[in-house]
Amino acid sequence: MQSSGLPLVETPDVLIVGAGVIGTSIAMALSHLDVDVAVVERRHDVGEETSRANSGIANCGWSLAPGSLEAQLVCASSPRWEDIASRLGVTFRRVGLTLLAFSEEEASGISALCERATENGVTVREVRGDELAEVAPHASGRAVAGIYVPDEGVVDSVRLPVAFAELASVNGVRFYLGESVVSASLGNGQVEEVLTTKRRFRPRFVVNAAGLGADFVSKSLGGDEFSITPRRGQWVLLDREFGKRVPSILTGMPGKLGHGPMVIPTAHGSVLIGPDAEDLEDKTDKSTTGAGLDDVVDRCRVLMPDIDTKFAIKTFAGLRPHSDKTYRVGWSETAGNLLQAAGIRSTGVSSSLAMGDHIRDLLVGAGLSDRLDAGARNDLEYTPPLWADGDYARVAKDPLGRTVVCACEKVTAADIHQALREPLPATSIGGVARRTHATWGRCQGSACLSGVSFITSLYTPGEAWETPMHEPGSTLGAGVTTGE
Amino acid sequence: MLAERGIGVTLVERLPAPGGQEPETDAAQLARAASRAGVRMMLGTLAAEFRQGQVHTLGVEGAVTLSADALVVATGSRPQTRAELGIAGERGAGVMPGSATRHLLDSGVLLGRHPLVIGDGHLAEELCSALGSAGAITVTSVRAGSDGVDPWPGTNTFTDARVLSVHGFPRVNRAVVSQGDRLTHVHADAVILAASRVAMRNIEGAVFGGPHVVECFSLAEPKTFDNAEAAAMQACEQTMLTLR
Ligand SMILES: Cc1cc2nc3c(=O)[nH]c(=O)nc-3n(C[C@H](O)[C@H](O)[C@H](O)COP(=O)(O)OP(=O)(O)OC[C@H]3O[C@@H](n4cnc5c(N)ncnc54)[C@H](O)[C@@H]3O)c2cc1C
Repeated sequence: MQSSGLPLVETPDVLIVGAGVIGTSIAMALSHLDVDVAVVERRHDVGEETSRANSGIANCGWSLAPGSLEAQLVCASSPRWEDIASRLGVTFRRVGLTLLAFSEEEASGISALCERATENGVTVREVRGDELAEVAPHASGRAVAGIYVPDEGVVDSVRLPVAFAELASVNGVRFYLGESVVSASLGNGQVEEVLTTKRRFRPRFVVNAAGLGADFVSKSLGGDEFSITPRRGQWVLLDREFGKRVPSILTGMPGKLGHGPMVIPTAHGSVLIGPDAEDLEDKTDKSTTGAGLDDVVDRCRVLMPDIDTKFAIKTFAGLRPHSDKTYRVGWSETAGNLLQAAGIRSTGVSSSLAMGDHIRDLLVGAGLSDRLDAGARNDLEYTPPLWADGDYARVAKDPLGRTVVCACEKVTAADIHQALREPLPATSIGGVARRTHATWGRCQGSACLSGVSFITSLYTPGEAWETPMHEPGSTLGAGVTTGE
Repeated sequence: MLAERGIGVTLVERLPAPGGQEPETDAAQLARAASRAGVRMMLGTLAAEFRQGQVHTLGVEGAVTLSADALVVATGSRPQTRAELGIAGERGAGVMPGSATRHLLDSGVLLGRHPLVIGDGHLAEELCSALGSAGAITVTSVRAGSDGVDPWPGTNTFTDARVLSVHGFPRVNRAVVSQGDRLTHVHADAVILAASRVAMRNIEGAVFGGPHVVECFSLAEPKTFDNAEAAAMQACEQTMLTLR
């Protein structure tokens, strides 16, 4: 082990590895206790891997295996969204979902799914004819029957881990970004020391919330051996203008790899069509493929024939952390103080609220202090962007709010400065985009990228061309111009 | 033109001066003529939304709501986005909208030493030349146009071609160019999107037209004053019809 030269600066009660939606929700839950918590994340920002590229559905748990930890945590999180969203300034809408069956044979599966929902404590109902048209006016007329799930919601899942992390940070949790866990030393069946690329930690407990990297982290910490494989999903994002025609989520009958592509209104009114599901080997392969995207569009047109790709703004892909056992959550069998929160493949956003509490309770059960931190906050000071509420007068009160930098997403200079000054500030153009949506609209930065990069460069080290788009090495340019 | 016909006109412009992102030489003269004809100018102001005859604006004067019988949208053009061009692959840095490239070059940022520029029109041509003089070592131009077009000076040109995908992370380093059945892997550390101009639409409620919305986009190549004036005249006639 190459520990020499690395400073030992940290002896936290809890070290969380990974700052995706799971790691940050755990950090937020622990931040209300009077304990010392540190988070290590290999990427330059929180929520940069699976948690930034997902469908943003806050599932209510209706179709999950009853009694499973996944169902318990998703169902326990579902009623809490309105409250947490308002306290953290995260947009959430309970839009509802309709599952469509296109033949009587498919429809024969409806009653079993409805029973499953009942077992999970979720109210759903079978819909046909006029009622189907009423709950899903945008659905294909070829659907013969469906299940209506009123409690399904959509959340701004891009901001969610940022908001979790910011509240944790305000409450004293320390985030070490751009730093990988690489190895550890064990003694008496416990993790004693954790080495990252920059420092050593001697934590009392370690939580492995490393998503796609959780198998490597577990192995490095002397924990259980399992493997995580990437399951890619691709989407097409459609304009808000098309979103007016998509009041709720549409999905088809589940297949071997899940529900298949869906038509999903996003929290702020645009529409995602996708994702598909394809098992890959390369954990970094987030590329989109022409064939995959065409397939997604074709399959979503079965659900909603009116889908028009002239409204397409962007295509992208995400990787689900698939493991042979989903929700590997619990104490390691080989390293006593290592708690796994891994293999959270398809519902990590939906379960995140209860997941933080669940992990906190397991830690408290193992001896972590449950004394509350009297000074801990429950909410964030955050000014929402204009698109969140359309309140022009509010935005105009701040002089910087009168300068709209990104005209497509109506992002003002005030929003961009806020993103760069938040408790856990953006440190790249991509970080600003994630926090504000600037450059993410119809023109994809055509009109605003130079303005956004200019403001970002005021806060980042180096020359203008060195302003990072995202990870180290992702410079805006390749150098300074020469010549006339 | 509308004011001269006795219509009450307010001109809302996002930038602090009239003339657009790439000010035309006669912009100032036209703006003076418009003011003389009685046009109210709201500069440094974004028209954000148009609903039920109300235009919500945000700008130096704060949040101002205007009532309008017709909205003329003359918000200019932009090159096609990556999604519109159907470019698959990784999302490394260095894939840039052509219009942003121009501004960044003006501020001294060299986008790539081996940039690849997609597009056939004036913007693509200008960027190829500007990148070459700003310090790029090789400039590749990928044009959808057919054989026989003259390659722009100093560029390694693919005609009848399109970029299928881009690769490389954290920065792009390669693009796959197709010409019929032939695929070529081109080394590129920046991919500049400067293909065919499309309308810049960003006013909520009027993004894809609608009643009382008159579109005034001049998208023809080359970009000339005559083409712009023709589009304006047509929009003026349409506005008069809408107001009737
Ligand atoms: C296509 C798709 C659609 C989805 N749709 C939904 C949906 O609609 N609703 C829903 O609830 N869920 C959805 N999900 C699932 C959801 O996104 C995941 O369950 C969730 O993001 C997992 O979060 P995580 O924190 O476990 O993983 P991640 O977000 O990947 O976080 C893990 C973090 O650990 C870091 N890390 C890894 N290794 C190390 C190391 N050695 N050192 C330091 N840091 C490390 C990583 O950089 C990463 O940031 C979807 C996922 C995909 C891909």
